[in-house]
Amino acid sequence: MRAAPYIRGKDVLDIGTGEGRLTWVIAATAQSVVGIDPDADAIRAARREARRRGLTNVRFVSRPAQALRVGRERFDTALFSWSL
Amino acid sequence: MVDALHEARRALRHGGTLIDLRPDSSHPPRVVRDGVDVGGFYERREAIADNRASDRAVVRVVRDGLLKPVRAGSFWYDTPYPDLASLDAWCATSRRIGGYTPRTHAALRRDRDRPLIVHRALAFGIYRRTER
Repeated sequence: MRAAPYIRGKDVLDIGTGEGRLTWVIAATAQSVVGIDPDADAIRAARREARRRGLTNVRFVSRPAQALRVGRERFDTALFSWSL
Repeated sequence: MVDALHEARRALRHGGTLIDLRPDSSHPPRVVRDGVDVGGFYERREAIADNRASDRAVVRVVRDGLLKPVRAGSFWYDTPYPDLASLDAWCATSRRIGGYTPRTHAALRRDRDRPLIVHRALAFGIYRRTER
């Protein structure tokens, strides 16, 4: 989908990350990825998978899209993956 | 949905990019076996309504001048399933898919152990955060 310019080397917020189905693809080229999803079980599974893959540029947060509360964090790209 | 868009916009740096990626309801998924289109699926009414509500939310945020459209389109992607049982399991648990279109399941049962591919259309919209 020609998204590479918006992902490569960027700080990406993956909204509706689920168990990380797209996060792994994004993390391969992004500077960092924060995956967010209201499903706490899915986030636990995503964290396990991130550890298994040895990824250090990925973090997961259990929270709905309506309350991101990202504080001072700012992202280059926000991706709604199946979640809007 | 508008709230979620506002939150996402707030999380972006100035000039940041918002990507909206979701199934394209105008092209329901197809199921393919050995390169041949065997049938399709229908989407739940609520899923289609949600998609339209999302479209309206994006239009509103763009109209309010908070995001500027950069590019939009759609593409197809394939998901493999080893056999009909695994496809049935996906279909039964999907929040979006309501079931098979008429005659699709009967056609799939004739060769139930063959691998299958679900061919899905995804729509994407790319938007840039405006400075307001």
